[in-house]
Order: sequence, then C-alpha cells, then structure tokens
Amino acid sequence: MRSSPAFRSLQFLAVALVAAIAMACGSSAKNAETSGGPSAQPRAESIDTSAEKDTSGKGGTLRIAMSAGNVPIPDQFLTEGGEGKRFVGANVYDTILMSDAWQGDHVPVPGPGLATEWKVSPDKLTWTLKLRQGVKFHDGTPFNADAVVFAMDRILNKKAEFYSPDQASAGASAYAAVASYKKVDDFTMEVVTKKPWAFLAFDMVGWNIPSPTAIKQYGNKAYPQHAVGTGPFKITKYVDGQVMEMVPNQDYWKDKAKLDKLIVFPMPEPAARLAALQSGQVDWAEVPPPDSIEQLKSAGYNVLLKQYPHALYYGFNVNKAPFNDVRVRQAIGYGIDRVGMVSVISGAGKPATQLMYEGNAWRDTSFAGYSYDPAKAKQLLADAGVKLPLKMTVAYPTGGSGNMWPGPMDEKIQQDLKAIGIEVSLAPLEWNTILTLNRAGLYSPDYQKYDAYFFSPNTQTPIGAFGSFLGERIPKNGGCCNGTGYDSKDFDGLMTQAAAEFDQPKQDVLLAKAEGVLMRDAAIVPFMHDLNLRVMTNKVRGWVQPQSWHGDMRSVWVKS
Amino acid sequence: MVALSPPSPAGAAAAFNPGGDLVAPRSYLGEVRARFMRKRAGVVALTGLTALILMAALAPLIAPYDPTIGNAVQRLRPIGDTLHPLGTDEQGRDILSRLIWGGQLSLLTGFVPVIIATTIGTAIGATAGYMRGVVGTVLMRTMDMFYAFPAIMLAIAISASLGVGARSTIIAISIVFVPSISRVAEAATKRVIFLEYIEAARLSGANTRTIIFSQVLANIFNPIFIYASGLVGLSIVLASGLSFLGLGSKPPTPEWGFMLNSLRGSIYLQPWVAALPGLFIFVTSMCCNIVADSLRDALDIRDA
Repeated sequence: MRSSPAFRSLQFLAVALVAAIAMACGSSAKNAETSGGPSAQPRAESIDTSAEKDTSGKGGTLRIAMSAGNVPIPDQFLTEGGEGKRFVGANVYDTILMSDAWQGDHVPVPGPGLATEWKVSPDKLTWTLKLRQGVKFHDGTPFNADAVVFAMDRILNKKAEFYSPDQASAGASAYAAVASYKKVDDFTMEVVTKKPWAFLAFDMVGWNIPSPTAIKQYGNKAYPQHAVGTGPFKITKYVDGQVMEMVPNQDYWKDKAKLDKLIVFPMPEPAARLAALQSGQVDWAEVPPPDSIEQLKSAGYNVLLKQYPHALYYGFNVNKAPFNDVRVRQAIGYGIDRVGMVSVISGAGKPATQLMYEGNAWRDTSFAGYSYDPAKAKQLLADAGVKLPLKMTVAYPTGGSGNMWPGPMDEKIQQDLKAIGIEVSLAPLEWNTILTLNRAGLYSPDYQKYDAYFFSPNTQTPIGAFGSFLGERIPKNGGCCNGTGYDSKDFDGLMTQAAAEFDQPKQDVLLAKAEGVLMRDAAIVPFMHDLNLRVMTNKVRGWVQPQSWHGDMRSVWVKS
Repeated sequence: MVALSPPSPAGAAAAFNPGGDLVAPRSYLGEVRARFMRKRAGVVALTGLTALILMAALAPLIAPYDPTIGNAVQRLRPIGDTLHPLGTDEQGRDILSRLIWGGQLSLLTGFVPVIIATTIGTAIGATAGYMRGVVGTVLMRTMDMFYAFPAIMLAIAISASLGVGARSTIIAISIVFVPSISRVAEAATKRVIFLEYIEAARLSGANTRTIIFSQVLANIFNPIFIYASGLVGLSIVLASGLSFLGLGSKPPTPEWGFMLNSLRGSIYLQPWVAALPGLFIFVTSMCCNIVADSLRDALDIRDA
C-alpha cells in the first residue's frame, strides 16, 4: 500500500511544488519593487523601445520561436495564417508587388516587386504589369511571365495540369477580383478584373510566385518539401512539426540578407517561447506572456512594441436572435472595459474602440467609437427588450498568430458583460478551426451553436480590414470569408465606390465611411489592437520593427 | 441475518475471550474510532480535511468577494495586501475567495469519481469473483485492458473526447478508477466465497442475489473501502491536472487546477500568489492520503 499510485503521485507533486517554489524565489527578488507594475498605467503608447538599428555587421545564426502551431507548409499560399507568411512566405517567395516593410515610419504600402511597373487602362479593368528582368529562382529557373501564368493557373485555371484545389481555396480571397490574365510577352502580363478594383495593388502583395520547374518536377503534393521561390532566403531543412532552416539567397536581385542562417521553430505556447528564449534555445521570441515583460527588460532583453493595423474583435451571428438586433450588439460594444483589459495584459495592447486605430486613414472620425459605458449598455439592452440574463456562447482560439492572449482577454470580457446582464460561455477551439469557422460562417449548421467568435484580422489592406463584411463574400452567395453574415447595402455601396476609386486619398475617405457604417451596425465589436510584442536578445541587430505584421529579415544580423 | 455493517471481528474477538476483561467490550465502530484517535497524523489530517470541506461548503457565507468578478486595476496584488489578504489573480480577482469557492469543484472532483468508481468497480469485481468461469474472465480481462494506458493519459483521452467541463472530468476519472477497484473487489470476493458462512447461507437456501448482497458485499467492504479512500487524493490531483490542461472547469468558475494554470503566466511577478492553488491541491491531497492510511490501520483489526 505504501507505493500505491496515490502515494507515488503525491511524491511527484511534492517534488514539483518544491521546484516551483525554488523557481519562484529566484525570480521574486528582482521584481519585489516593481510588484505594482502590472496594475500601473498601461504602456499602450510604447513605441519601438529599443530596436537595435546597428547596421554595421553581418552574419550569425538567428533562431526564432514563432507563435505558429506547426512549421508553415511552404506552398504558394502558406498555412498557419499570418505567421506562416511573415516568417517563411516572405523569406522564400517574392510577390508581384511588395510592401516597403523594411522601414518603421509609416504603414507599408505596395510598391515594385517582381513587377516593376503597373498601369491601369482607362476603363479601370485591365492592369498591365512590367515584370522584372534578370531574376532567378533558387533552382536557377529564370523568372518571367510564364512563371506568373503558371502560378495563377494553379489557383484559377481548373483545367491546368498543376491546378491545386487546396491552393485555390487558400488563395480565393487574394485572387477573388481576377477575371482573366494573359502573357503579352516574356516580361509583360495583362490582368483583367471582374469590376473596377483599385485594391488589386494590395492583392498582388499576396501573390507568391513559386518555381514552375520545381512544381513540375515534384508535383503538387510533394512540392512543399522542395519549395523554391525567388525570395531572399532558400530552405535548406524542413522537418514537419519541428523546425525549418533557411540560408540567404546569394543571387538575390536586391540587397542580400546579412544572416548566415535563419532557423524558425513553431511554439504555440507563450510560456514555452519565453522558456526557449531564457534558456538560450532561441534569440527571438514572438509574444511571450505579458507579465514577463518587466523581468525581460530588466534582464537586458530588447522588448519591442509598436502600433500597426491589426484588431481583435468579437464577430456576431447577425442573423440569430437576439444578436440580429443592432442594439444588443452595440450594448456589448459599450459593455467591454478595454482599458481594464489593457491592464490584464500588462499594457501590451491598445484599446480598440473601432476596427481601425486612432490616426489610421480608414478610421471614421465622425463616430466616437465604443468606450466603456455600462449604463448605456444596459439601456440599449432594455430598449431591445432582451430578457436578462442573456446567455451567449463565444468560440475563441486557444492560441495562434495575432490573437495575443485569448484566455485572459475573454475572461475579462466575460466579467464585464456579466455586469450588464450577459452570461458568456466560452468555447475554446483550435486556431485552424476558427479559421474554418470564419470561412464557413456562423450561420453554417456546424457553427450555429456559437453566437459570436473571436477573430483577429490583419487590417493593413482594404480587403484584410473590410473584405469579410461584404455581402458578396457570404458563402451562400458564392464568396469567401464573411463569417458574421453581415449584409449591408450602405456598406457594400461604399466599398464598391472605394474599389473603383484609384486616387488613394479619395479611396481612404470612402473606406473610412464604410468603416463607420460597419462600426455603427456593430456586426463586430473590436476590443484590442495588438502591438506586435516580440522579445530578442541584445545580440540580434539591425531589425526594424515595422508598422505592420510583416517585416524584412534582410537587414538582421546576429552579433557573436 | 447479518446487517450491512461488517461482521464484527471485534465482537468475535470478545466472544473468544469470555470473561477475560472486566471492561465492557467496545462496539466495532467504537474500536475503530479509538484506534484512529491514537494516530496523531491521522487526526490532524482529518481535522484539516474537515476544515477544507467546511470551507468549501460555506463558501457563500465566508468568501469575502465574488470569485468571478475582478478589478483589473487591482490585479496581481501580493499576499498580505490590505484589501486582499492572499492577493489577487491575473484578472484582479480575490485569490482567497477563489480558493474558497474553488474548493467546491476540486473536492467534488476528488470524492465523486471515487464513489462512482467504487460502486461500479465493486459490482463488476464481485460479479466476476462470484461467477468466475467465462463471465469472470471476460469481465476481468476487459478491465485489464484499461491497465495498458497510464491513468493520466486515459483520463485526458476520455475527458478530451467528452468535451470541456467538470462533468466529463468526473466521468473520465471514474472510468480510470473502475479497473483497479474491480480487481480489489474480485480478489476479496474470491477469498470469502469459500468460507463457511457462505456455505451455510447456501445450505439454508439463500439464492445468489441474497448471498451476494447480504454476505459477500458486507465482507468485502473493508478492503475496498480502504483502497478507495486512498484514491481520493489521487483523484484530486488528476482532476486538477485535467483542469490545468484546460479540460476541467470552464472559466470563470474557480477550480484549483485551473487557477494554477491561469496564474502560471504571472509567476514572474507574483510567484507566491501563483503557487497558492498548488499548495491547496497539495495539502488536500496529502490530508486525504494520511486519513486513508490511518483509516486503513484502524480498520484492519484482524492484522493488529
């Protein structure tokens, strides 16, 4: 009986507890005087605290702990959401147009990439692209219009030999506007859109071009194991679930990467990323637990925070009672204490009173936004005639790229809404399931049990920010990724005007108006802007924290 | 016939010692109590456990704050704070109140699975032990299959397939415990069915049902009870483990394992506060095990 399982597990527990206490003692000394820190003033305004702009050296091996659940599959469109694109996609592939993500002074905008010039015809439908000459894929294949047509065929041409249904689905949004495309000569392409579509410049930033030779050689299925692009890095090792290694492409067509080697690890757990950083397993960790920020700073790590277009929100099933009543959704908007939530995440975020942050060109300044006003929230619920307590089920991701710390944030909302009479039940789902839900919609039979879902889009492009609310993108209307079922003539009308407006300042005004309509209708209730928290050792040099989800790895080097 | 209380060996001992003592013979339960009281560790642990149970039961009366509502500005206060004696958690909720309320679910997931598993396991074990033959073999070999998996893995698998919530935790842990309890019950049944009083009962015309319920169960109660009481502590640890992994209680309902998990990220700022739920799991589980140990010694009069 002495060695019963109960006793053994107890011994284990005792050992674990002693270990935990020993660990706690180690870290408590340093933080004794800063214990008031987390509840003190939120540091929402923190900007680029210590980016090492040291560009004097080169070389070194950089190891990154990504927030992705797995190594992104390096196909033409990558898995693992934005994380896949920023750490693997952007390094392996170049895109037709490319953003100036190497600077941190403004939100990056589309500029020359694999296309050097682009012109739109007077009827606003035909885009003529001049392609860059002298560019080679990592396997030596020359880049030309055939490679672009081949890449587009994989997504858009069902009769093409290497058409990939998976890739077509992943690329549906980026290619949604394209009606036809053709090669004019080796370095000229023509792309025709279905309707005037000024957003195509943004769309083209998402058009990765893989090597046609590699795809023909390995076939669609085996290609990701041998992925080849024209990008600044080429893949040298890829172990599913564990690691990917890249080395610089020495034949790159502009400034070459300075590193000797880039290694990325998928680590979905914030605590695991932090442990990997502290133990020296990695040099760079994405989103560690927010309560570790103070300790990391005092230990000499570079902690980077910067505003960029990104918002976390609850999207409602706008067809389901009582959430079909705009007043109920607005009540939830006024019922969330965003400033308190910033405290809960130790200041590593900024309250989102609208989808777009203050100062962003697409924010409707004529709408005050959703600040914390429980009295108004209760009044709205009363006006809507809702019987309290109202029960509401919210699906949320347990982790995943750009979602910050969903657990604590959801719990904060749960408390806030309880105070206005709404009882939130939280349903944790895998991030990839949430992405599927977003594509299928809350109104699809599989997801009707949820009244709302937690989502966090990259709002840097018009479609990234607003595409998910277009009526034509409701799946039953044949489109993709309107998860809420929001369908507004006003909103769609403004978006159509914006899409046909090729003058950027005028387009911005129209987009801001559309944002105002969406916010007043409260199809979604935003609550937080991510600040792209990342931590690196002081040996990592040359990184420029961009005002974007995506950055440029070429300038980075590691001091030995 | 003998009632459901155990066949008093103490009484029997007294009977074999006629007139030896001037002291009036104690009842069986009285004897057990006296023996238990002699174990100081057992008494302390029992007092502690009683206090914990009372604390959880009286949570609505004694908890100073609402355990589900916090004040974000007051988050992660240290132990010894004037308003929050045990500090606050990462949402600014009072830790003391959450520990008190959390005891309800934690203790429930400690005791309920053991009670369910004991009932089912005894039924299976006693049937297998009494019937023997094909039925016994099929039942017990089926139980053996569960031994192929480590307890925590099995619990995680069952709990994950049933979905998040305290109910699935209870079901998962019950299933994990059934095989070992049925094994104890089977062994004990096999020991008693050849004893004379069973034969006497059979000769006097009692049918199988009567024999199982009135003779067998009463006589295998002790070993099963002793074994099962030792499982309560393990059950609390398993349930906390499941909660820690996010398979147990749903937020905001407080539960010690879940609290341990959600405070984990704050260990850098308030390590002592973050360790508190673990301390409660540890102490409760320890108390349960010491009480079970002492109880075993007190009940095992025959071996004394």
